[in-house]
Amino acid sequence: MSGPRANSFFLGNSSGVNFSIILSSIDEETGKLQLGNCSGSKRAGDWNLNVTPGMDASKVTISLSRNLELCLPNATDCCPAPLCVVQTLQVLACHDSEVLAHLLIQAEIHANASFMGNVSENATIIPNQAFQPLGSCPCDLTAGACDVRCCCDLECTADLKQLFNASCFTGVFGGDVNPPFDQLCSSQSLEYTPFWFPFLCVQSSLNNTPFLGYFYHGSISTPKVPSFKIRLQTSPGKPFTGYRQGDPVMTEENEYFTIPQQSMAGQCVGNAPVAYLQNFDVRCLTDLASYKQGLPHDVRINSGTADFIQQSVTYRTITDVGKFITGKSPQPAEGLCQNVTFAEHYTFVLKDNNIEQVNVTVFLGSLCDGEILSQRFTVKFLSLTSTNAAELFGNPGYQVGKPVRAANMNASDTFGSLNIWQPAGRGLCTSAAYTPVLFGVDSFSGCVLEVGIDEDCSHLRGNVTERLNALIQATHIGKRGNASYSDLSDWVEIIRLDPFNSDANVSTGSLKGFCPDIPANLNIQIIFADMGAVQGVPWQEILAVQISYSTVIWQFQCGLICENITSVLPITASVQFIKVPAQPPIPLTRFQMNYTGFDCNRNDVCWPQLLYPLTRFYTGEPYSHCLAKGLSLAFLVLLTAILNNPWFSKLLESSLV
Amino acid sequence: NSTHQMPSLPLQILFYINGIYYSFYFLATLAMLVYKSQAFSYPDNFLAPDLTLLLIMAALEVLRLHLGSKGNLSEEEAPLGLSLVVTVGSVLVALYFLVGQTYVLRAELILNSLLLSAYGLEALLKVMAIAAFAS
Repeated sequence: MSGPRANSFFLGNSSGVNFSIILSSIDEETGKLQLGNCSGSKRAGDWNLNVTPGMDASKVTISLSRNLELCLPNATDCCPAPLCVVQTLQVLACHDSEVLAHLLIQAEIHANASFMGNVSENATIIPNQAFQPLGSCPCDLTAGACDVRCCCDLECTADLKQLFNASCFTGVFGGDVNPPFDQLCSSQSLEYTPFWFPFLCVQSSLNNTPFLGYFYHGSISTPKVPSFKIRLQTSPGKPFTGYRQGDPVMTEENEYFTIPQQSMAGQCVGNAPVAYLQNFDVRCLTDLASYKQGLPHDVRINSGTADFIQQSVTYRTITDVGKFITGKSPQPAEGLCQNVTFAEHYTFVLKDNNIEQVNVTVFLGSLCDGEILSQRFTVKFLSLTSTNAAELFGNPGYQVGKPVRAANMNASDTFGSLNIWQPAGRGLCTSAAYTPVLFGVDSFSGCVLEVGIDEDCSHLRGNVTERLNALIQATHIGKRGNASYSDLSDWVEIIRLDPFNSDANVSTGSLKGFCPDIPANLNIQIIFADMGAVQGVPWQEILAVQISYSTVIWQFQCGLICENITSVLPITASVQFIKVPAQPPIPLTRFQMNYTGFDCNRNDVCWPQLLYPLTRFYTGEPYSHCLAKGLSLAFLVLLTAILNNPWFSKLLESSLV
Repeated sequence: NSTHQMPSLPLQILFYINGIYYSFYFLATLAMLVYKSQAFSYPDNFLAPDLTLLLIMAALEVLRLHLGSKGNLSEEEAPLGLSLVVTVGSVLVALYFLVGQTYVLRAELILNSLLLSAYGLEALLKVMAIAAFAS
């Protein structure tokens, strides 16, 4: 038990039992303890006795009721010395003056070691960490009092230390702040010691250890508070000399013209600037609570020559609401409804790097509470000279994001298309739309086909193959963005690796709901290369296109019982753009391959680093260090040369004689 | 009179051995100083005094041996006395290298104690030679 309270138990029936506590005294001569009789009470000196009776056992509590604060000697009601109470008690359980049981307690109670006194205003002198470890006793946490289990604490007196001597803190926390390092001669290191260790071990005292050098010797610098108050520069910073591809379209107030677009993470951002000559068509989901009105349509746009154009807006109402609104409203249409923009279609008409006209068609409709609206924003850049989308003048190659030109030489109008799926709704193949393959954009899309359990495997294969082939309505792909249909050399033939037809092997009637070798994945690999650059913009051409199929095993997914419902088979199409170097890399000369001593990247040492104080090839040490070492070496050589000169010894002779 | 006094042969032998030993001592101490500078950390440029003292010691040694040898061979007391004075300085520097360095390696202990014993013996012989020449 520790503290001024102790518990014990009296086993047995405690009815009619008197408990008493007496202070015992030890006979000075014999050293024997006198057993008490039943004449005590529940109080003895500063001690109290409390008995809590129970069924078979009673709890007996002895508590000390005096102040255990340490104070000056000769003061009252506190402890004059650290060892405050040394007493022997006896607790007796008596029944009719007959002792049933007695409990002997020896109490040695020390004073509460809390700090009492003046707080000193003197600052502790911090020793120079270069010569003495800072904090020679890390466990000395309280000033002016003894920390328990801290053997290096100077405030602990010897008899206090004796109490916890066996369980002192070990290691650095306990005061061993100067552990012997491995290179010390007297260290019993079990690690490998090299053969020269008996000669080159450190013989000096432990006061100088390499560990003392591990402290930061830096100066104090005030941190610079980041000034977020700097206003964001809204102007692009350069004077306006017309738009180039990719430049943001600016408004009259020199701010970005924004239309909601899809960010890299996938969600819609409201304040996205519009890049010149970059068409897009995005759908953004919003509902009534999070609906935000975009830029007002009376904002004027910089045409590129510091002229400002007004947007010409046409407002229409939506007829087919179903295409935009998903989700049903829980309450009828009398709920909270608001007139919002369902779609905005921008058409920028260009002329010679400037915007000539901006035509906007805004579709309005009413959105009610609880409905989810899929807003649609499209931007198209049209050139006055051609009705198709404008190309970058002068660069005939493909630009990233432009659709890949495809041609079908077997068809009458030679018009072809290379598409991948753009699913909508539930992602079913029957309702999926197509989107053209864009150059440089690796894509992966697919749709879900519903198959019944008793589907014929060859019929399924035919169905899947037909759907996949519907994506590729072309036999040739254009090498450049401006490939013309009349010139066959502008086109490269699509290499098709048709799926392996395994109809003959598998007997279709054996297994129901299981079809191997379904060519459900279409891989389109397009190989392109850099042919050069025009005005700094790289000119890329397509070199080859390969279409292959990967097969899957389709198995009907049964639930608990195999009901006659439809299972799903996902069919996918992936487009991969692979860049190859148009020219082979420059072959290494035989000299470079054989004499690798000149290759500083592959070797640790190389010839160019030989003269390293003079040249800066070697980067293993700071240049100042190697310069200092080189200069001192040169000085020593010079000194030797001077001293060895016979002229010098003659000079010495003449000066001393 | 010069036939009675001859240059002290043991002293000359000791000078010769000392010269060879000192060159070895200088190179070894320099190498160990470089090793210590790479293996241990020195506080606040404490390496610079060590290096400077080594160079000063080399200069003192050259001076000391030259003076002593000259004095012994020409049987004059003045250079020998001067050499003795310089020996005191050399002894102090050697004592510094023995106990006063930041890190003292065991090899340095051995080298310096040998050097100190050589100095001691030389000093004794010089005193005897001076006494012999002066009388």
